[in-house]
Amino acid sequence: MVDFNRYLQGAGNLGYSLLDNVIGFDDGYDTTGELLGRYIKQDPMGAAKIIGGSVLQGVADAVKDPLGTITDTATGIASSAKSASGGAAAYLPEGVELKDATYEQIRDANEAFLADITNVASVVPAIKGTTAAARAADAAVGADARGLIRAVAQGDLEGVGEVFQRGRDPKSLSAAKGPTKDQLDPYGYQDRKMRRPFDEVEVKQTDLGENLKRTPISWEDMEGKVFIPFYGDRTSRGLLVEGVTDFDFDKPVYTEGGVDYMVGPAAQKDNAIWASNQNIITRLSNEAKKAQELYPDREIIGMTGSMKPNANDFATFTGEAMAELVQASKITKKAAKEFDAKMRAFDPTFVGTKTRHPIIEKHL
Amino acid sequence: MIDTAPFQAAGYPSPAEARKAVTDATQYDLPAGMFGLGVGAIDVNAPLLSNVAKEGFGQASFPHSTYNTVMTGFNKGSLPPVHQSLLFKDVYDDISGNLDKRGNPLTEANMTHAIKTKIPAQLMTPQIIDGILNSLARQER
Repeated sequence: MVDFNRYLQGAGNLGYSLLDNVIGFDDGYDTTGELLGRYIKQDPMGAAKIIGGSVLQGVADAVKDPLGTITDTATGIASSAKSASGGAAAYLPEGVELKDATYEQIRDANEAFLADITNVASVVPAIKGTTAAARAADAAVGADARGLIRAVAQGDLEGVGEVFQRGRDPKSLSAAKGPTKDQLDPYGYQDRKMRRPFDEVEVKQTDLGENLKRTPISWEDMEGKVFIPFYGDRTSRGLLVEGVTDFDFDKPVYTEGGVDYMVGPAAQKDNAIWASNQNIITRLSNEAKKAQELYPDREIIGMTGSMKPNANDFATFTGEAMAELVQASKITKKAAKEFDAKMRAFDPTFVGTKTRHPIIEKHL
Repeated sequence: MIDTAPFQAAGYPSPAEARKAVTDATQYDLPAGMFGLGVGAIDVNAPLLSNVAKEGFGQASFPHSTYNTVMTGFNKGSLPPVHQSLLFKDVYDDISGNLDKRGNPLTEANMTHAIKTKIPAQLMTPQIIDGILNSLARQER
């Protein structure tokens, strides 16, 4: 299925290309946005009216039917999702692999990927430069367009919604009552505002005692070794998660890591140090072999790096935890019906929010 | 789709709570791009392991439910985590040289993307180790 948030987050990871469209880095390459930027400089007021109008029409549509707008956008994206699902790598010239790609090829692939997944190149105007004319255009487009650009750049649909709701009134968002999203969720565990502070979410869990203890080592001992990155999620390993705060899970969730995969049963039985999909592990292995050829007398080290919290979603047991939490939630029949219909539009096999079935864990 | 305003308002559970439920507690507040908690020496000569019998692969005796392929080696231990900019210095310097013509700061997402796609092998020179130790010392102060 197509998850609009997921693709926006993908866009967030392509920050440079996006900002190159918005700001226009002087890197000798004209993005679609930069070309628009030139037009803005030539006829700033005319461009501002056109761009502002198109942005604000999108705003108006979203105010009337925010969910429908997002869904329609996601549906529109669906046609390109197949090619986008391969990531920016799918847009490299034929025969070129990421590991061999030049910077320019990666940048071009990023931009094509970005355009496919967000359509942003046609929406985001390039308000660039510091000339008086450009500043005039910027002012004419107004705070809403800039807010929208920022929100899209950050993959922040809530921010987009706030811009929509404000219309053209330059209200300060800081005037909102209650704790802010950042106060509730300072580490960015979800896109929407949390209902209670992250730090007050209590995880009930039991350590099954399967892992060896982590052995502290020092950076001084790493001198002369060669590192390659193991980017991974931040999931725990060898724990049985039994509930969250005031809700006990029907079926406790077993966690498999993560960093502690290196000290778990697979490490103890097979000397396993990292698991992933075959294409990823094969690439890492090939890079390790190349590094060994380059540095024949050095130890080649894989070192884990923590990705953003939403990287946990790739692990199947995160879906299991979500499925448990769904059972605890007070979801109206109407909302469930709407949710299920949207899910089934993407995947007809979706069993339904209110159905207790192992398959739901895979979908969530 | 659950992490959208309409469905959050309709009572669907918090994705953050599901994510926290399965997160290693030592990483709750760790910024993205921090490296060092898991350190393993890669056995470059050992075959990769697969969850299922497959030609050219060994078979994993304790399969991961999400991932189908395993790299083997030897666990070395755990380091105080440091930011990737201190560790993968060569690729950072390389990209900075390419893009930072007007002194614009590069985005962190751009750096992560580059490292993930290039998988750079980084020799730990005395200069890099010094930089890491200085950074850790500053954090302690």
